[in-house]
Amino acid sequence: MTGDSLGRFFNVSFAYPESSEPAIVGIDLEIRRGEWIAVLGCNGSGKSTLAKHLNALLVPTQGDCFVGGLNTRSDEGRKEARKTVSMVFQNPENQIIAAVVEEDVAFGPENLGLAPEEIRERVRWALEISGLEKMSRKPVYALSGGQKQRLAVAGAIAQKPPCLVMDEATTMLDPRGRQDLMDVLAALHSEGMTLVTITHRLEEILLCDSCVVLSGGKICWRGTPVNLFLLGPQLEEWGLEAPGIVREWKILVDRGIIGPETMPVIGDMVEALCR
Amino acid sequence: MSIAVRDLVHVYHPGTPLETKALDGVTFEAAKGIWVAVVGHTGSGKSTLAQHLNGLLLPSGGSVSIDGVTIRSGEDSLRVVRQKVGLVFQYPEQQLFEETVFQEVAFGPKNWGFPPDEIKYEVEKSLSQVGIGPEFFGVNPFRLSGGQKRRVAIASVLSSRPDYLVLDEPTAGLDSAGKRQLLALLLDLKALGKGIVHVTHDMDLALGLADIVLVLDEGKSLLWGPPELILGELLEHDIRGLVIPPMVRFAGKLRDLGFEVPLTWDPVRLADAICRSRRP
Ligand SMILES: Nc1ncnc2c1ncn2[C@@H]1O[C@H](COP(=O)(O)OP(=O)(O)O)[C@@H](O)[C@H]1O
Ligand SMILES: Nc1ncnc2c1ncn2[C@@H]1O[C@H](COP(=O)(O)OP(=O)(O)O)[C@@H](O)[C@H]1O
Ligand SMILES: [Mg+2]
Ligand SMILES: [Mg+2]
Repeated sequence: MTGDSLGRFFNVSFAYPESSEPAIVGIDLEIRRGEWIAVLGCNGSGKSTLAKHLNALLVPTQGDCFVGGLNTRSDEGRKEARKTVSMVFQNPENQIIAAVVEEDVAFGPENLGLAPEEIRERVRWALEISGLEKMSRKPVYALSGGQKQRLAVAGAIAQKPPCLVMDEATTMLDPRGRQDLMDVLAALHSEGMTLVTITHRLEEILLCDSCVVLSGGKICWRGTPVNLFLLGPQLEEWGLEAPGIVREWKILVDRGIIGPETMPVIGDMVEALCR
Repeated sequence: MSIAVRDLVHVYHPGTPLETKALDGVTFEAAKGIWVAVVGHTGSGKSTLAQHLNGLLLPSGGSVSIDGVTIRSGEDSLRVVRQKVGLVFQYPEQQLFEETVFQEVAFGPKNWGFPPDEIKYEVEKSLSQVGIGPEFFGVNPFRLSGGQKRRVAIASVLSSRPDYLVLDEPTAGLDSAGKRQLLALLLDLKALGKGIVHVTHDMDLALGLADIVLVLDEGKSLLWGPPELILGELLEHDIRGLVIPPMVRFAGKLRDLGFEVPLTWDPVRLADAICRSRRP
């Protein structure tokens, strides 16, 4: 379901003003419309810096970044990037604006100048998908950390952006919340939304079409999730943590008990063992 | 010698439209040299409970006592308790406020009236325990990375020489290297005899590391016991917000199909058992 380019990096480097070392170096990357891509790597490897180029929060120090075919250095390019890409960050505290849950979710659609019924409908949809429909009138300060994180997601998807970037946005969710959110992402993906998942948790990238791994600001590996899982101990060097089921899968594949074509999910593994 | 929590109730904003009963009868005990994991869905009251353990919040009902001293407002007991129980917040930003890393970590021992040479000793020792070198002593804590902030927050609690450490989601947001370092540190501290109360929603961690697991559900203590026991309960009942690690479900599925494998969260142990017991 992937189509033309949504985002394109040409040899992009970026250095923060006050620092001597660049945060990302020579990034060449294409993100196709409808693709679900994972950006992986340890703390400080440059993932957030890369992601912030997609909605023109940052523009390259060297090289060029295009979103929707427009260079993000230009005014039109910046506008296009802001319209195209919504971001959810790791710390929910920094992205909640209003004092009441439903007002916060309405903020984005209101800014788009939508009709009141459309705004109401989007708020309802976003709150339902994020599992917050019962909390719509709650004050934001009364939410726990995980609930705030889900509110941030609701706020971002209420704008129905062509592309959603999740920058470690599941960090504060409990496992059920994380699973619910994965279902939301899968649904958004099947509707054609382009998704960028930034995470350390490999169980979150199973459904991705492709992944890139950053190390010291450079792309050091690209491929499919399964090929990534097969790398084994190398993963730890990149700050990545394989969940138990993936480690189990790798051991069984290495011992020749199941084939590498088996996906690291319970159903497929059980089936392979019973064959 | 332990943290003893009996029928603890906490109500936020009592008597207002915002009244929320965050804890509704929680009972458990955390002893020195023992690792207790507290798990539960988002909003189950974990952070609220953590703040009761060093008297930051006071009970609306029930009691919390530390080594036999019951926490009450406005008494000297509160001072004693705050030194005995170190609390590391869910977001380290909520905790850091001094201008340099050194001052941050010195705040506790200063506050407790340690003599100056002891303050210096505790600060240096605590920072070295968490792997923060002298080159960071003069740095503003807010300039540190997430993992470094978390470690400074832990050092600033360690420097008061607490007997118990309460950590609210300490591994959230850390990459796997940062997480491994932190968990190794906590295991060391436990070996030194500190009591560890580890609030987490990572069942893999809770099952793999804790001596005892407390499961909270809607502010109530639902389960309390060693990981093996909790695992059995988890497989039998669907507990809100808790996901059985997929590997354990995989093992359960194989057992249903007649494989002789243990219910385990250790991948090598499970793989060995699978090799031994191919299909019956
Ligand atoms: N606002 C900033 N100012 C200066 N340096 C920064 C800033 N944000 C990030 N950095 C540095 O850039 C590098 C990459 O950081 P980041 O993109 O946040 O990595 P990641 O998201 O993978 O953890 C790190 O060395 C970090 O210290
Ligand atoms: N300061 C507060 N004011 C009002 N309600 C709160 C406050 N903090 C937490 N709550 C509520 O108390 C309940 C428990 O929250 P919390 O202890 O943060 O849970 P957890 O840490 O398990 O996610 C939730 O329903 C939350 O909305
Ligand atoms: Mg980041
Ligand atoms: Mg909490």
